[in-house]
Amino acid sequence: MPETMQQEKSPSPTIKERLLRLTRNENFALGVILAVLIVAFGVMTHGAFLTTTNIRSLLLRSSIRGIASVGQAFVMLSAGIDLSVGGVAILVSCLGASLMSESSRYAAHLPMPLGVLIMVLVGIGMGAGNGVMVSRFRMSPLIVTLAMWQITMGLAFQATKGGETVRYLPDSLAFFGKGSIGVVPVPIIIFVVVIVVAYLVLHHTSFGRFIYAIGGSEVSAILSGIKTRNIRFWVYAICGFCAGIAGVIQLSRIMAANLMALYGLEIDSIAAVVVGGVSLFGGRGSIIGVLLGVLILSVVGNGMNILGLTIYMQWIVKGAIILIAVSIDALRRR
Amino acid sequence: MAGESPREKASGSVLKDSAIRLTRNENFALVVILIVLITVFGILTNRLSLSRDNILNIMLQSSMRGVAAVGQALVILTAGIDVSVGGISTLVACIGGTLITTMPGYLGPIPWGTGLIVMLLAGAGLGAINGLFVSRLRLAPLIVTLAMWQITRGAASIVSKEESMHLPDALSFVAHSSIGGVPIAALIFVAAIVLGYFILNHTTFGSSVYAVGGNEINAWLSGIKTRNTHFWVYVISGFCVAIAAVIQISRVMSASPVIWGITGLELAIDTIGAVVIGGVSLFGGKGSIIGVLLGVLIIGVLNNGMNIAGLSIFTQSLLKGGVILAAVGVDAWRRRSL
Repeated sequence: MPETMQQEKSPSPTIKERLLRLTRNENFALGVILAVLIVAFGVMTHGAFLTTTNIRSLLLRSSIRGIASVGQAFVMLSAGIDLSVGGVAILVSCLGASLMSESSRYAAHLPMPLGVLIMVLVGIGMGAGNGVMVSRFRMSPLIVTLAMWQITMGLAFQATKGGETVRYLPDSLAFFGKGSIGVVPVPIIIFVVVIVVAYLVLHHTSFGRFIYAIGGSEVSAILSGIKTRNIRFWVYAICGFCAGIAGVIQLSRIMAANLMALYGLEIDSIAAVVVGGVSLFGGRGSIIGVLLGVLILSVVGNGMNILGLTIYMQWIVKGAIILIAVSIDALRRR
Repeated sequence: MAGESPREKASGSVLKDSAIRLTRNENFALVVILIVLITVFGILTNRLSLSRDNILNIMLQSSMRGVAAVGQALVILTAGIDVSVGGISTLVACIGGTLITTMPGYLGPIPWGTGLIVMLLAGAGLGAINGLFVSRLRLAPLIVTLAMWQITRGAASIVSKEESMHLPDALSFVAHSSIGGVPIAALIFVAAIVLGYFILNHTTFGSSVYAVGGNEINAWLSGIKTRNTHFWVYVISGFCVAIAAVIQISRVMSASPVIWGITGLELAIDTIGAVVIGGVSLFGGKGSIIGVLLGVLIIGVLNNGMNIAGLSIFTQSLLKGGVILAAVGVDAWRRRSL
């Protein structure tokens, strides 16, 4: 034990020191990047980017992606991954639509609250399926969720009777996607609630602490007596839950369900989480970072749309962003 | 080491012992599964799926998939993964297409031989980018190859201007001709398997692949240049899918960004599935080329059978997903004592 660990009474940090430490903060860097991007796109699009309508639509789209990303963050923090997020969301919306549709082609005609409840439960169920295979059977999360993605797409196809678009949904369903409470659209409210709850869980509960522990070093976590198997299970269930909510909101926004609607949600969520500073190897990262990552990617996507870039060009940019983000993260961690 | 194994059976028959040991062999189980699948599909579709066209089709698809699977197997053996295979293959095909045909705005048509060489080099080069990110920056292979998939697939569409380029007739030989009765594509596939087997089992590089996958720290402590191993497997994977691209564009006699499907993810799923079914563990260090060969054949029969049975693409995804899950589950169950 070092005897001369004299705790020198250092003077409280000066403003300058505080500012310096702030600039090294990852989330601050992300915030700066976000601000720069907003300004850049605003200039490049001659202001079209900054209209209220656009910002509103941007925030709405961020909400769906953001909720899925929060779920993905939980999984990735525990050193896992969930490639089925998009598939689960698509399945949830297709299944829910076919259950609630008032058209004669679908027999169920379930009332809206029941339909939505089933949708969320299916989401949790799919996530739980992932969780069981990863935690109990100790299978690789990559393959499990990849296979689950295939399975959910297949089931969604069956639910929509062969891939057709399901319409004629009860009007009350529109509340989740198109309604507002006061001036704030409901999806944004749900997103904010999810973020806040996630933040509280991750940073102020022991469950959250255990997630970080498992991600950091599973062996140490096991040796510390943490029930890693249970926690592993629950993070996937949570991710499925988030995917389910995303599916509900998406269905509500478009009031029709189609297989291609949320295609690519898993890659978007992984990208947002990774840009937000969560390491794929787990154990590092914060919800604020994820939020910033979601916003950055939404801004980039939205800006590119306005600028008229083809979707393939956008793919290249998004892929490059992911690579740059993880590279920076790796270099900083050296 | 403890004394004699308690499993010493008192069977006096060498044949019986060999038979028992055979049934426990992983690859034997795969062969059985393969035969079962063929018969099941044969019954389901009311004819033994052994018509000449069918076999040719299975053979071509399996050849392409097989070559790509060899590269993927090497990557997965190092506990990595390459999801970008579809994107790299598509981009390579489009690059080759634009060079070989008369696309306005590009270098004038170059001889198809040079074009093929450029394609192979491009594949290796793109694989090298993957390798650099994984080996030097030590990034997670999944994220790197996922991002690369996006980038290469997007680049493929842009390079080819979304057009389908018709190839000169000379190129049809790769997929449609035979040497001495054996289709060239099949020869390429066999060559890839043999080379793969040789590399993995009879070179130091192959040993390092297994070592790095099995226990990277120990491999590094033993003096193996793990960084190089990580780098080269991705280069090889890129090269392999470039070969697969050559066969594919020759098969359809055109190069376009959708030769591997709209997204290009199918190739990744098929190769990873084939490798995993073939007994290669995703955690690295375990598996054999023979298993990969069987895995490729199983996936090939599965795909072909499902097509003939008229199942929709999504139902096929469903079934394939189930099969892959089952394979991984078996692998995990076998490793449960670890």
